[in-house]
Parts: sequence; C-alpha cells; structure tokens
Amino acid sequence: MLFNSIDFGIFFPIVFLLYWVFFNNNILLRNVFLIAVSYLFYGWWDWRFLSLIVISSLIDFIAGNKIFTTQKKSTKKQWLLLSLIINLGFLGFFKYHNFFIDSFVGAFSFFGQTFNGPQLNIILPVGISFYTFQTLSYTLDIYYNRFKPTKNVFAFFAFVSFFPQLVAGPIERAKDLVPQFLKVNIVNYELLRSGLLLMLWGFFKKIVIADRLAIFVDGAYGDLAGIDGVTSLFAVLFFAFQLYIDFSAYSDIAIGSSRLLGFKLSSNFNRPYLAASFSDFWKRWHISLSSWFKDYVYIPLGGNRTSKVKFIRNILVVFMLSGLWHGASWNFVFWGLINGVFILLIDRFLVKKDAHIIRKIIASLTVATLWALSLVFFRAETLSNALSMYGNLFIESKSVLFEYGLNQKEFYFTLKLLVGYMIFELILEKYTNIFSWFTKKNFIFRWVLYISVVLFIVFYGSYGVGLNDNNFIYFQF
Amino acid sequence: MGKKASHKKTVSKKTFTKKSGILSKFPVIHLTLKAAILTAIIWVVIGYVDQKGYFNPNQKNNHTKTKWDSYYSFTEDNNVDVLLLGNSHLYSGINPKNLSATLGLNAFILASPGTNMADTYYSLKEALKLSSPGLVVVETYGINDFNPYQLDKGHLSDQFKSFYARKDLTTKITSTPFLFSAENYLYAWSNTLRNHDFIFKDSLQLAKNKELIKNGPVENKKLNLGRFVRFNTGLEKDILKKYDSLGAPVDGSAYSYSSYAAHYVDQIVELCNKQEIPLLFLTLPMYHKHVSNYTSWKTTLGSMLEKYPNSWLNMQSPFDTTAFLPMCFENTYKQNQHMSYNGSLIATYKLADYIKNNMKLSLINRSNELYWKQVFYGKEGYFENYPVLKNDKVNQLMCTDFKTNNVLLEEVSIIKPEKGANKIIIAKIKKSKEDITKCKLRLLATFKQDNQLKATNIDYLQYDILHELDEMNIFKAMIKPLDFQEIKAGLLFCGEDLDKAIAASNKAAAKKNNQ
Repeated sequence: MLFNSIDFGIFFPIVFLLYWVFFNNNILLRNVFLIAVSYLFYGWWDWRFLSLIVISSLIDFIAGNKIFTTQKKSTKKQWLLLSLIINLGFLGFFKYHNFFIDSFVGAFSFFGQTFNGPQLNIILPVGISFYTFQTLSYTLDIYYNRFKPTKNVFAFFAFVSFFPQLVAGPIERAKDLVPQFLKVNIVNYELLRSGLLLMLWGFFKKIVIADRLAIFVDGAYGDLAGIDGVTSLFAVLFFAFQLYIDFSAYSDIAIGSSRLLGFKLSSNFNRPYLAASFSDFWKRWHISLSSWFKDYVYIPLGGNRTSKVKFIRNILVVFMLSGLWHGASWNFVFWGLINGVFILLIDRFLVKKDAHIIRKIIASLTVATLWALSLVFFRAETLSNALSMYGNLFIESKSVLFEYGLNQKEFYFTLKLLVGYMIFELILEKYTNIFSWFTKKNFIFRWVLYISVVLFIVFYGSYGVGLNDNNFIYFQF
Repeated sequence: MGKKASHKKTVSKKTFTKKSGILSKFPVIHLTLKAAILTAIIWVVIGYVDQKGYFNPNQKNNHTKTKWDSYYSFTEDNNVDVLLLGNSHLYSGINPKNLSATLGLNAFILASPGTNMADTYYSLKEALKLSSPGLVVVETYGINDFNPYQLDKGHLSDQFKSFYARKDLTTKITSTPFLFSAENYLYAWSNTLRNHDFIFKDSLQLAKNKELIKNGPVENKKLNLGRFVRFNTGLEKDILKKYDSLGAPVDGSAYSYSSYAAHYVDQIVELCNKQEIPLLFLTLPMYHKHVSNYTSWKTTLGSMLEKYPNSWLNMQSPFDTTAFLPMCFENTYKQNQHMSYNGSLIATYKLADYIKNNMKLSLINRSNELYWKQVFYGKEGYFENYPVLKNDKVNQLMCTDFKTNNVLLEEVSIIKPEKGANKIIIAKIKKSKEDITKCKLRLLATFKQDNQLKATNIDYLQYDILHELDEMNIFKAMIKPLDFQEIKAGLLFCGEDLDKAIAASNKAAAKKNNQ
C-alpha cells in the first residue's frame, strides 16, 4: 500500500482510531493488532511475500534468544550464522541472483568462455533490504552483547513488520524500537499533533515537489538520444532534489504516522544538501542506513583507527556495499565507489568547522554538485546510459527544455519551489525549534497555514489521472 | 462598567480553559476532531470550486454533458419514445430528428464517445428514471470496448466526462465502484481534483471557465436530441486507394469482447425485460473495404447476442454497397471509422424502416399531436415526412396533388432547412411499381421579379437517396432565392436515354421561349 494512495487514506485513519480506542491499553492485543494491520499493509502489494517476513521474524526471534542464552561461543556463532544465512540468503536470492549470474556470464565471456547461468524471473519483494537489515541488527546486537533479546514473540514480530517503516525505513535498531513494543504508549497530544503535521509536510514534499520533478527527470532520462546539454543539466540537478525530497518525504510520513500511534522513530535526514563535506553529508543522508554500515561493517573492519591502506579499503568496501544494497547492478556499485572516492579525495580540500561562510557555501555547493553528478549512475538504467547522460551535458542547446513533461510555466514554478525549499532548509538549519515556535502561534495563524498547505497540495500537487503510479523511489530497494 | 467587563472576561476565559481542559483529557478525540474539521473545510472548498465550475472540461468537446442537459430539459415536457444508447458510432451514425420525424415520435440519443457497456448500462438506468420509452436501441460498438477497470488515460477522460454529465446522485453513487478503480473515485466526482493541472497546462480553458462563471451559461434553446455532427465529407480518393493498396485497416477476426462487456449487456437486457421495454441491438456500418474477415466478427458478436431474444439489426452485414457509398463514411483509414452526415441519414431511414416493418411494436404515433408538431416543425427531416403549413411564412407549400405530364406531384414545397443558408425545393411523388430512383425531375415555376411574373425551369431535382420513405419518393434541389409563386408543370426524365430526353426537352423549351 502506498502512503500517497486513497487506500492508505482510508486505511490509516481506521487503524489510528481502532488502535487508540480498543488496543493500546493491552500490550498483547496492541501488538497482535499492529502485526495484523502491518501484514495487511504489506500484503496489499503482494501477500505471497509475507511468508518471507514471517520466516525472517521467526528465525531471528529464535536465533536472538539462542545466542543470548547459549554460553558456548561457537554455538552463539552458529545461531548468528543461521540468522545471517537465512536473511542474506533471501536478500541474495530475490535481489542479487540475476545480477550475480549476469556478472558471471559477463566475466566468463570476457575470457572467451561461455557460461549459461540460470536466469530467473524473480519479483523483488518490496522493502526486503530494509527489514532484512533491521532484523540483522537485532541478532548482531545480541551477539555483540549490546542488547538483550525480547521473549515476547508478538513484540518482536511487530518490531520487524511495523508498517510505517516496513518498506522503506528508517532502519531502526532493536534497542530503540523493541522496547516501545513492550510498554503501553501514553497518549500525548503534542506527539500526535507533531506526527500529523510531519505527515502533512511529507505529503506536501512528495506530491507538490518530488512528483513534479519526477515528470521532468523521467522524461529526460527516457530520451537520452534527444536531450541537449541544458536539459541534461536540469535532469541531473532535478534528480538530486527528487531523490532527496521523495525519500525524506517518505521518512517524514513514516515517522509522522508512527508518532500518531505513539512510537518514536529515528530521524533519517538532516538537511544533507547543506553539508560542507562528504563525511558530513553521509552523517545527514539516509542516517539509519549510513549508521548501520558504520556500526556493522565499517567499525568491525577497523574504521579509521587502522593503517591508511586499510582505512581506504574500509571506506571503499562500505560504499561499494552501500551501493550494492541500493540495487543489484553495476551502476549502484559505481555510484557507491564514487562516493567513497569523494570522501577519500575531495574532503581534504573542503572546509573545516570554523571556515568563513563564503568558503562553507562553496564547499556545500561542491558537495551537492558532485553528489548530483554521481547520482547519474543511480538513476540511469545501465552504465552506458549513465555515460550517455554525462556526454549529453556537453551537447549544445536544442531548445527542448520544456518538452519533457513540464511546460515553461510549470518548469519555472518548479524552480521557484526548489529555491523556496532550500531557503526553508537554511531557516531550519539556523532555527531548529521552528516547530515549537509554530505551535505557540495563535489559532488563526496556525489554521490559515494548515488550510493553505492542504489547498496548495490540492491545486498545485502533481497528481491526476495516469499519474497514479507515483511510487516512492526507495520502494524499489 | 469596567468591573462588569472585567467579570465577563474572567468568565469567558474560565469557560475556554474548561473546554480546552476537557479536550486535553482525550487527545485522540481532540486530534481526530481537528483533523475532521480541517478535512471538512478542504472538501467544502473543493466542492465550492467544483460547483462553480472553474476546472470544468471544455464544454465544446464535452457534448455528453450537453446531451444529458438536453435530455433532462426535454423530458420535463416530453416522453422519450425511442431511446438510443451507444458510443460515438451511434451519435455520428443516427440522426434522431429524422428518426423522430419518420416514426412520428420522440427519439433521443444518449451516447458518449469511447463509452463501454458498463457506462451504457448506468446511463440507461438513469435515463429510465425520467422517461418510459417504447423501444431501447443499443448500438453494439461499445461491446468490444475495454474492461472499465483497465482504461488508459484517454478513454478514462471520456468515461469521466460521461459520469460528470449524469445528474442522478443515487445512480452515480452506486455506479462509481463499477465504472472506476478506487484510485479514480475522487477524479470521477470532482473536476477540480481531476483538472487542477489546468493551472499549468490549460490556462486558456481556465480563463474561459472564469468568463463563463462571470457571465452565466449561454442558454441553448435549440432542440438537441443527442446528435453530434462531426463528419460532413465522405471517403475521398486517397483513402479509397489505400484500401486497394494496403487492404482493410480493421481485421474482423481480431474482434473480441471482455467478460465485463458481456456482463453489462446481460444487465441491459435484464433491465429492459424488467421494465418490459423492447430492446433492439443495432450495428452501424463501416465502409465494406474498411473491414476484412467480417464474418468472424459477426460470429463472435453473434454468439453473445443470440443468447437474447432481442432483434439485432446489423447494417454491416450483409453490407449494402448500393446504399452505403463512400460518401457515407468518415474520410479516414484509422481503425475507428464513423459515418458521415449523409451516411447517418441513410442509416436512420433504414433503422426507421426496420422498426416500422420488422418489429411488431405498438409505438405511439405523435405526428397528429399539436404539441409534437410544435416541437418538430421545421426541424431536420420534418418536411420530408410532413407537409408545410399553409400559413408558414418561412417555408412555402407550392402545390399538392398536381398531375402534370408524366408525373403526379403529391406535394411540392420550398423550405428553409434547419442547417444551411440555401433554400431547397422538395417534390414528393408517390411510390409506384416503377423504379424512379434514377430519374430526374424538372419543374417549371413562376416567380416575381420587379413586379413582373416570370417563368423558369428548375433543373433538376435529383432523387434523394438520403431520405427513403415508405410511400414517397423525394426529389430535391437547392434553388436560387427567388420569390416563387406557382409550379406550372413538371416532367420526369428516366431511363437510359435520359440525356437525350433532357436535350430534347431543353430544345423544346428554348423554342417555346423564342416564340
């Protein structure tokens, strides 16, 4: 079920009311209810893949408890291995099977050999990368003695399948989220209101900005032979904004809807396009995934407290894996590696903390521009398409800018929206408690703003007949 | 005074605190209430904009709306006796005014472009709430149209327009889930939500709508029975050549229909049975070279229709090549070929003939009702079927029952047609065993010019193949705008030596003039 669908518009208010009226006061009932509605939410897309979530949850629940209760280290390791094999096995089969087969075939043919691997017609289960990493963190944390497993099977199943963050994160750590399923949530108006407003903000970002950018980006990337330099440049820039706004909108709606059910999820973005270095950028971008790789791959490999060569290796391994996590193609591997290289090579030329504002601005623009350019690998369907897009940047103008879904009027409107959005981000960077300032304003001011935002979505949103398939980009991972 | 005011202020503050306190104990209800109020406000605004019509689709293209508006206004004072439903093939292929005139009743076409059988069924359901037809005619092209849930944007647009045009709330509510998939419900109900992108993509329409709202709708007093004329010329040489070089663009063996279509045909039959209304399936033709393997098409469609006892008038098969000439069809090689204006007249009279002579119906005959005459007098097809009134100041009855030379003129009139600037002379000759369809008619008429009475030949009135009546042959010609007084003589030229006879007659006339 998509957040931006009529189905969810009916589903969520019903869940919200049933949850608070009938279920919240009894932990067992509440968790069973949450599992049921989460499975319904997921099954709306394809109920067959619910079995993967159930198996994954069951294995990790048992493995977690076995790892914790077993004294013998080798047995602990065996249970951890079982969890890793099952979870990564599912992920590997559904997401990477064809990629590895393709790559093997490619490698064999490179050396003049022929190898016919079995290509399967596999559907990628929505959100498999997200919930796999979330459950892995559970067994890994128990193995490293960072967390005690829960004995409440329903709480654990609810933790794995919690619908607001099931299909695209944030990837929560067990220590932060599992305890919330073990206690009765206290109803708090401020939390509920902030949740609703965050959802509203998420919908605004998705429907008004991201989906409008998508029209242009899809049009331009769909006509690589026809676009000129200016169009390519805007396609590259617009995709950087689309990806950020689309994914952060999803996170806002996920966090907001969780708050409406009394749960607190971790923040996933912190104004990444204001980062003045790449290392700063990755602390602000998809925080739950970055921190996952940091905790479970980068630090176990030795992090930066090791030799320079190993540090370089660690960075490149983490970014390569991060790329591969996003998608089973060499495009994503390149994209990840490029970003690793940016950290290793570019960051040293960028600013330190106390630099002059002008230098900071230049650094931020450098980071954002290089990031946007790297995303060509992320967006293009193949490596050759990505190279075509880079080549297109140097084609002289053919005056086709307004032929890719956004006419002149809408194109300039989109530009204004982006400028306004970035100004708002700058304000937020300086005044982080703007929400509490807003909630203290008088009733009329607040309601005029609420109504205006919703009406803005209604009249200026990019939705309509034939535009119903506005999936969130990160659903594909 | 000051104390009182101060007291009041304290009381109201207390009340406010108390109210706020109650709600704060129930944060879920508090938030739900506020969210509900916000939602209600937004819907009120959307409803207001919808009702005003700022985002209404182009009215000129949305002729379905005009049809439904006309249907509602027509049925305020009239009953629709023959109701025809279908898609663009129907409103291009049948002329309801001619049909009404020929049958002497009220025929109405409720057809919308690109419609399917589900839409047709719900249109029929709504239409029957306002009228009690003696016959329902369903054109069959909609049967091989799409599953209503799998419509693409273009076809959805037609379906939205049709839905928007309908007015009956109950039928609309109950039909919504059967006509649209869930993600399109709101678009079906709100032009604002569906067309909000006019702001960027059609500011011209937005401006037109604003103007319309400001000035109010233009009242259309013309009789609209659902006809929508689109194609005035017939097939031309370039397309006819294509048939010979490329073959037929439509392959009848590819004809199919969905289970949804079959279901709704079933529903239509059931509804008509329930209300005891005779139902006729009608298939209008495409040009015979436009369709290959029609037998296969006919068999597939027939396998569905033969389940029902209802009649099926199939004008495609066997195709009457002498009646449906190239002039009868839209000049196109694309798959969806409609009938031209001329074609629609021929099809209309064939339909009328079929209803009168093949269906054993007891349809009402209103041709003697004064009110009916007032409604239809002078409209398309009227004068071909009925005489001009003697006191008519626009149209002129020249003579009746006038035997002259080799012809008995039942009636000769000069009329000003509903459409077109030129006057037309119509001569009606009673049908006999002789085939006079290839003949030409010359009339000698007097006219006044500069207060002098002069005479002229009206050469020639051609046999009118577009208005084939039961009892009369009609001959027609466009005439100069002269002040005609009387028909003095008439002569029918027939047979193979037509040209010779005309030449001889011309010679004789010239000689007479010279004398």
